[in-house]
Amino acid sequence: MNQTARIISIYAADTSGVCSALYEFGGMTVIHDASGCNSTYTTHDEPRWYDKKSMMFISGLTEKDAVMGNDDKFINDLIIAANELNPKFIALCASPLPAMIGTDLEAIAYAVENETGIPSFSVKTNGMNSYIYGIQNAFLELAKRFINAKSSSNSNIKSNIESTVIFDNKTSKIKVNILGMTPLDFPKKEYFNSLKSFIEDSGMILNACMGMETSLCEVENLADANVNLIVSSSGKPLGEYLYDKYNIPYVKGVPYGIGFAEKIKESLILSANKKTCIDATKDLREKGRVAILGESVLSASLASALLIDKGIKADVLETVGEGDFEILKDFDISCDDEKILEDTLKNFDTIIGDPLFKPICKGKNFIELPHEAFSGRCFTKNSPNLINTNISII
Amino acid sequence: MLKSISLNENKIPEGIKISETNFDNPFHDGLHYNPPARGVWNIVHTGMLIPEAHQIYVCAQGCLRGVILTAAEMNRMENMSWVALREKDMWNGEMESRVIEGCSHIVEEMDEHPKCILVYLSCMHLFEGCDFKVIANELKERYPDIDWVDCYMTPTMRKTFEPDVMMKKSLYSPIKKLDENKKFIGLIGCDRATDKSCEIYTLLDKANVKMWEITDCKTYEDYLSLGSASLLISYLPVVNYASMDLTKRLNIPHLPLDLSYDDEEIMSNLKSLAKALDLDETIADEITFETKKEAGESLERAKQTIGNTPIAIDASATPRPIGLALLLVKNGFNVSRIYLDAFGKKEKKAFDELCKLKHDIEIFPTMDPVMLKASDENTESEYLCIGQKSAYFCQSKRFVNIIEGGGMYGFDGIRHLGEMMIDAYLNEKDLKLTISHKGLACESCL
Repeated sequence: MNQTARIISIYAADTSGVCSALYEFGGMTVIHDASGCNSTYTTHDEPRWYDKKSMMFISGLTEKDAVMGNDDKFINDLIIAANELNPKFIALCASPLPAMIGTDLEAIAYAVENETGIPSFSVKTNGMNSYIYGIQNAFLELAKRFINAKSSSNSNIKSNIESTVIFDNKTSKIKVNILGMTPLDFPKKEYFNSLKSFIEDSGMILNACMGMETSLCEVENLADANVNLIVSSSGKPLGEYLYDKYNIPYVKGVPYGIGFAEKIKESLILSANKKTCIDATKDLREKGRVAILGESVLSASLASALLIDKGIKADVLETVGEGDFEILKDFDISCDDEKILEDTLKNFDTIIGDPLFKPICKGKNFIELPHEAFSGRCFTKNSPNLINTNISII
Repeated sequence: MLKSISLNENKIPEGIKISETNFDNPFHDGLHYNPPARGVWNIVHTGMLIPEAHQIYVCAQGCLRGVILTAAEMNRMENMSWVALREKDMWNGEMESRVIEGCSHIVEEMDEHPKCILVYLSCMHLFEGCDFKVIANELKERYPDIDWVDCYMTPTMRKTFEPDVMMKKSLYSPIKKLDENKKFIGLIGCDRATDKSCEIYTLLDKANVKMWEITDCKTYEDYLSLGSASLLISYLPVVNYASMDLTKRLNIPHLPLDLSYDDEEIMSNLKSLAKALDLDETIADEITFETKKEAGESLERAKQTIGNTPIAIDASATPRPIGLALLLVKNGFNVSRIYLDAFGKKEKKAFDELCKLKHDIEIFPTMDPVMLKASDENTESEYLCIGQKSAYFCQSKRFVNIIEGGGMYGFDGIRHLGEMMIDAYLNEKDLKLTISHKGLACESCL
């Protein structure tokens, strides 16, 4: 039955996505919520919470404030905290109840900005969508607010779309933005390190990362890049925005394995030179008896890497219910219903997925690939780094 | 007047002297910060105490995430299911049927019906004016072999009915009246087992009375046997609403024996229990003659070991942090900090006495946003802490790792606490690892 699960877990919600996306940019992010969203996020969805401080709070909404529409209290509390902590920006998002009673967060952000002078904005959430939706909206809002177009050094504006710069990676290096990188999909710092090394070893320069091991300066410089590398569905709307507004093309895919990493490298160079957007997985997929469960860009990338490096044909079973569906093939499936998923999995011999899917994969060869957005910190320590290296899980 | 805690020139929160703190409203209740100390139990942990029961949560994805992963970390996904509410559910008038059909689907998917299912409804149901009776009646009619229990995950109501208080009421709601057993009483309200060495158990032994504790129940039948109790006792404040409900439904008297660190109150409680057990009240004096002495000796040993080391206490460790601070100050300990967001009403007497005895104890909130800056992970402090939150804020590896009193009661509890303080002082803990564990004493996959 739709929206119902007997035994599997559930993906992180949009509110956690917003917090995860904005974590490292020096702002203050506040979920308009009674209680619970903060504990859930900081316990299960934020591996950085203990070691790296960030201003992530909730409003502490009560039933009285909800019934009476007491927005003044929320505004006042935001101003008190902002004056004490001096954040670089203030971002607001809503849990289900404010969404239900129609709280105007945009107006509240406007009032707070007027009072404090601190850039403030709302990010669309309602606590009922997945983390992908929250991250996508948060990155977009942040970029729209802080990109410094004047700093753009390579004429990345639409009017210059005909201009071309030939990058040979010797005299003129390609500057790359990573888009869609949060701990919900990449829970360990080593993933970022591997991705950065991959870019640098490919003769390119990392211009900015959205959003791990980063800062607000990198957001301001986003338009300086020559190409964007979209490593998850969470980065796609920002990639499209940067292409539409600044003519910066994107490549979709995570450089898993050896052969597919090489393919990504070639795609980045081609994309930067030709100003065209490329789905690196496009011609590297074939239907098989292996199913990969999870987020679409990560799963399609792994399927492509398995085909190139090991000759294994794998289908993607997109299980978040949100994200980049364009990357999926006709034989792939998008399904967030436990019962249908369980029945569909009967058609496969081997399943690659988060351990919390295991109870519906009985009798199958199950290969564990932990996904923070699904199982939180339960299996983080077992999460393998597959970026630009031999894939040893299968 | 409400005090707003501020950062000092070094960007570190400054506490407020206890003597300058407003007992009724110590701090401004603004935005909330959440420190990474996870030992305190939530409604999932508590619900799992009912043997052979299953839990179904019906709420939005964001709310589901926390409870589902609580169960996952406990390795109890087998006992956990969910129904997600989407935006359309808010407007289509099908809130009740979504719960009923979702729960029915889950039951149909099970190999065997559980004996009891706890159905947790959310703030969204509350604000929609959802008809809980219709849901309960329909599920009972469809599956009469299952005890259906309505539970609530409604944190917006926390100022009137805290989720913990509501949960404690739900925890005992399947209990039905059984033939009374005069030699059987029930201890309600505790998630953790109570020390068998405490004076409550000694008195029960004297009266030849057995006690029901939920942590001892292995089967659903064990759990239901509370219905035969002749008396209900409790010592944690969170149980009041549940005790009222049980007393009304089952006609079993309730005797509150509040956890305390005050000699007089402990004696008064034990005498009340002795009387309720038809024992001579003087027996309380007899059985505490030794334990009271041992408690004093334990604190003395602790003082000799700990010396003048500053001590910090937080409200997650005990419902009476002020009473505990007073006990320690009276015994010569250097209590310097207390972390809490509000004072318990029953702590007023201890508060007034503590203000006189040590007026400069610093009071800190735990949820105020500036507390984000309170801990410096790169600097280890000298504090001996009682409770996970104070240990985190002080960044101390020397801490007594307890929640809600730690199952310690009476003079025996004080003796035990003294021993735990010595152990905490002598044996450092891995702070991050220890406080990351969700639900102290629960199984964990981490």
